[in-house]
Amino acid sequence: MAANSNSPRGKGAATRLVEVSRIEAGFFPFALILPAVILILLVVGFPLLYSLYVSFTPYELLKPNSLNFTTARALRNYQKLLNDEVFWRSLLNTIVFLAVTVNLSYLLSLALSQLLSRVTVGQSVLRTLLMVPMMFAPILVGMQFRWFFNANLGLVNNFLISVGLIQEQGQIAWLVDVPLGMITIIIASIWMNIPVMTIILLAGTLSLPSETFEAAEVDGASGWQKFRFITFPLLAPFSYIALTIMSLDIARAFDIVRIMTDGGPARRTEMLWTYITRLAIEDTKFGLGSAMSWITVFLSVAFTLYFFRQLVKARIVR
Amino acid sequence: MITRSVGPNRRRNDIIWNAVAWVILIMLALPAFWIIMTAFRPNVEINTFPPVWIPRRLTLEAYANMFGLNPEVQQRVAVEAYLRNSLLASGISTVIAVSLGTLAGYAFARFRFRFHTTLFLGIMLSRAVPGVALSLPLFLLFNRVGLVNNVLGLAFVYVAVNIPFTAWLMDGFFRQIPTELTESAYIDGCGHWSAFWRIELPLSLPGLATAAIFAFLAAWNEFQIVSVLARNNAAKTAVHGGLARNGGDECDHDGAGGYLCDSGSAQPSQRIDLRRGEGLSHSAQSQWKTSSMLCHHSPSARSSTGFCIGMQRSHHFCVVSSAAIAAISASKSSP
Repeated sequence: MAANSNSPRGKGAATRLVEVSRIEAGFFPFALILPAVILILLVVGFPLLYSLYVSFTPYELLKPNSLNFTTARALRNYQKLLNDEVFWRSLLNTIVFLAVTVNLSYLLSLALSQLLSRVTVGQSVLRTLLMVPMMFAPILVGMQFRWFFNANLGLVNNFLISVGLIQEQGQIAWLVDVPLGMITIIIASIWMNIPVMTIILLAGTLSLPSETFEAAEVDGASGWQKFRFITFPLLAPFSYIALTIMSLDIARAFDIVRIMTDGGPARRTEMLWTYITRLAIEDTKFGLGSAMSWITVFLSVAFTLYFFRQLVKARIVR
Repeated sequence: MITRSVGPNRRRNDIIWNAVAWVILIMLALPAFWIIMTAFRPNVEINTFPPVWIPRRLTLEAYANMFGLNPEVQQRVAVEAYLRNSLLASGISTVIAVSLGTLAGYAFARFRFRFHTTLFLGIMLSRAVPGVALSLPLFLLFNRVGLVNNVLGLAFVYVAVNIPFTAWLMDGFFRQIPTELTESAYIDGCGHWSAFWRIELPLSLPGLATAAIFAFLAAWNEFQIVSVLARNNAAKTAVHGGLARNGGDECDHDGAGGYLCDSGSAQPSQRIDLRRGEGLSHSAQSQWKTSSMLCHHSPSARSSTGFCIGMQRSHHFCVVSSAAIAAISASKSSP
């Protein structure tokens, strides 16, 4: 039995690098899992299948008769989407948003975790400080960042004015201008993502075997070399855990977009999630909305699956 | 942990690292500090230029306004209903999700069986489904069985949404308990169930607490699903009813970036043209209509400024207390 003295305890879950010997117990484990599986099938599996069916119909909520399936028109919704310029723009926005947010969050969290791991005074206080944003609802974060970036009253513009970088008349319209709208959303979601990732990476860093670093020091490795050739590769499983957890939650960015710009102005920050809301909830086009939902489901699942595979490869789950 | 030789250079480096880390983290925590303090400051102070960084006066008036203790604030919205819905949905779903998730997590951590990876992956992937995508079919289906506008329906959804992460967390916690313990329990005559119930579950209580906190927070903070499933004011949760009532861009021009905003500015779902639905008896559609009409006409939908801010603040209160609990449990379990 591998009672590993270096086993990380930071995040408790899933951070254990040890191969566990498992017990054979016939039907018993299935009985344990069954209730969970039934519930998930009821609440996630079946509705998703239903939504697939709806996506093949021209269903609109206010026209109850439109929920009927005809083979000839089955792919109409998907065709409509492919020809819809707004759809492509929101897809592009979503991809840009995801790429920038995921990469930057990861890099910043990595840097922050390395910084934190060297702190000798009050590390636990800093960890607690770091965890506070984890508790905020994304809606709340979005709302507050919208206020921070408000053109007339926001803290950011006020700060820039008092520093003298901009004039009192030349306030920056953070949430309105073209690249700025995306940038503010990205800043808000990075701020929300950093705590979880940093905590996981910090737990990983603290659990690394010190002998390796001592050997490297004896060999005269520099700080950067130690990070590049020891810390970073050894952190791989933790990196993938952090990225997997993030990809599970990535659609929660919807809340932020919804409250900060709601895809506007003039669809400049429209993303798939907000566009679904617009189509299905506001225009009651449930068929079209469901078709697009399936595209987002596919994206999210692919994302998660990719990181999860990497995680398994890094030998952490099994 | 990296051992270090002590020398004057090292010590100087240490001081620099500490200073840099503290400065960066405090900067990172500033928005959080601001968000929390907003709850206890008078409006004048929040909106002045130049910004007042250190609060001069702390007040609980927003809470008083919210709960109707201030006679000057006439219009009030169903704060009690929002909070009750939030508590019910989060509480019920947390209890059930943690129970079921713990069972599943235990199975994954302890036993060898067929489809182990497939099942685990399947459960995890169910969590990856975006709430927006899930909310549409859920609305249609729940509408048939009368679970729209129902807290229990919401709790039911949150259970399923919270199981995967709970199972993952508990899987991790159970793995840290040595297998020998279980095996010796078997030797002493325990069955699978009593070994779990009497030996391993008590040992995993700290993990259970952490999982519960995460599940509760996830449910409490959830917005995407409740925003579709709750079609009238009485069914909304604190996050939905209190925080997100002003979705439109119009709010930007208002005072404190939106939460000062009067929700008289149209909410998206209000824009549906009611005439289109005339004469149709489809129940989904009537649900929809009711909600739109409520938003349009009922005076309670027009919220007062004090309410909007207050609602946001009540949210803080719960958030902060749970943050404290989470921090304590996390610091106990970290090295």
